[in-house]
Amino acid sequence: MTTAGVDVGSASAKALILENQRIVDWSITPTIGDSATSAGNVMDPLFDKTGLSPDHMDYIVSTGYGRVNVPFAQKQVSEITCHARGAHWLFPEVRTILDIGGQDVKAIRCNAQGKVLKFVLNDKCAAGTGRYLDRTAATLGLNVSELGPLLLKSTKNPPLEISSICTVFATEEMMRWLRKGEDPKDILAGATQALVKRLRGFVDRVGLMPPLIVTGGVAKNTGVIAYLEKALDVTILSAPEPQIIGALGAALIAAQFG
Amino acid sequence: MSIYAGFDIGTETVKLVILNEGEMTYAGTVFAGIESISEIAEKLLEKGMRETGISPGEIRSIGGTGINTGDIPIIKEDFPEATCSPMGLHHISPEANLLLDVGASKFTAMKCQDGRAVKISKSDKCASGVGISLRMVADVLAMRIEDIGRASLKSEEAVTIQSTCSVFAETEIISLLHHYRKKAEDILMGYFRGMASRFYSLLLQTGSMDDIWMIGGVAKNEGVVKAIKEITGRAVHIPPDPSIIGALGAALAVSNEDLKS
Repeated sequence: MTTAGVDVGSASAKALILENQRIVDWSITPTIGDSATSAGNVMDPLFDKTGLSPDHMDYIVSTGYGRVNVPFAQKQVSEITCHARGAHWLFPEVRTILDIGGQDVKAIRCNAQGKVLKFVLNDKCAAGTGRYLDRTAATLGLNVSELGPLLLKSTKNPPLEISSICTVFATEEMMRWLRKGEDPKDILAGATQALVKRLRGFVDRVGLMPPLIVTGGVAKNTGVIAYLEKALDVTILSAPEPQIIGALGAALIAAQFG
Repeated sequence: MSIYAGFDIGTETVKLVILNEGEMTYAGTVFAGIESISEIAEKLLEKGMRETGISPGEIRSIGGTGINTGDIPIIKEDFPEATCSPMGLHHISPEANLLLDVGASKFTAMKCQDGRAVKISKSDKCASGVGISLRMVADVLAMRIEDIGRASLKSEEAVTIQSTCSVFAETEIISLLHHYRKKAEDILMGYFRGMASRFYSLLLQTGSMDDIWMIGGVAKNEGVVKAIKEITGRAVHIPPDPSIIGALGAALAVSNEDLKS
């Protein structure tokens, strides 16, 4: 059986093709325009890459913020369910999942079967999301991809304090530190401490049970992961491609229906 | 002669009021900028004295309210905003009983009685609804912050802004503007109505059913004021210079204390 999962997020769209419980391939593209366009933009190159076509698909499940507008999907499933399913398939021992997306944060606790026991979702406030890191990078005149390595170079102790949770107030604090002549890497370390504190709050609300996996684009930021490991005092599992866990879960669920 | 001065130190602006025999003889506002806040305060005081012909020796004491007043040596006594804003407003409008203060980085609703706050609700953890977020909105629309209030009054079909978070609202506004081709005035009025709803929740928490007296820099925005009137269904009154009420209160508070001792 061949199925596909499509995860249309706020910042990027992800698609994955699964054949008899084996991952064939995946693709990731930035979200541009409406959800239907983004879904097509991510599926087309995947078909090209794999030599498969829509006719080969037994079932397609869509998930993510734009899931209702994916014309070729037969079913829509929530991100929470898909992330839990995808993470559990990769790491059956996982009990807690923290997904940090471009515009939301989810903490999920699941059981040994990958069933969701408790979750908390924040999509109302930019604090703790990828957007917070985008704003931090822009404020400090950095590229988002530079943040992780730079962050690990900061040795200032105690770190500079960023006291606000709110992204807008936090970036004002960063600008104040810049004006006082502080080094961007030390300001970044302070900003990351604030981010990690916020993320810890979400994990605490579902009750941290190790092992913990972090998914979503921010999981690629080695610096943030190191800070989070220290704050939570756990080793964090990470997938080779942390952005496709939702799409993987969707494809796995599709296999149940196809 | 009994002359007193009061400062209100905000995140964006510094305000000064000089009181002479209990009457306001000078009121001034300057941007905080990047200079040290104590230098800004000293310069503003010099300007106030120059314009009123008062010499430093004639000022009996200087009160302060707002943030980091302790960093400013010329301030001799600091007072909470909860004391200063109602006291300043009462001096100008003794009939005011419900105060809404919307500044650059927070908003506060106070139920007042005889110039004293009896119930206070405050929002200072989130930028949604505060002055800074108005600056962001103006930037996205490529307008000046001074112009967005008047521009919004032309709105005939205000849009609904779904996002509460200012960061997400910014993205939503870009999409409303470029993708959905909405007019700037309709986006602005939609944003102001969202702010007004948040103010209303806070006002309701005070339990007061009175007319609203709005102070703080955002009270100068006619669009926000119109939205508050529509959302709350109440009359909204604005003092002649809504930014300096806290500074006036600080001057009154320090004069009260000085005359007592």
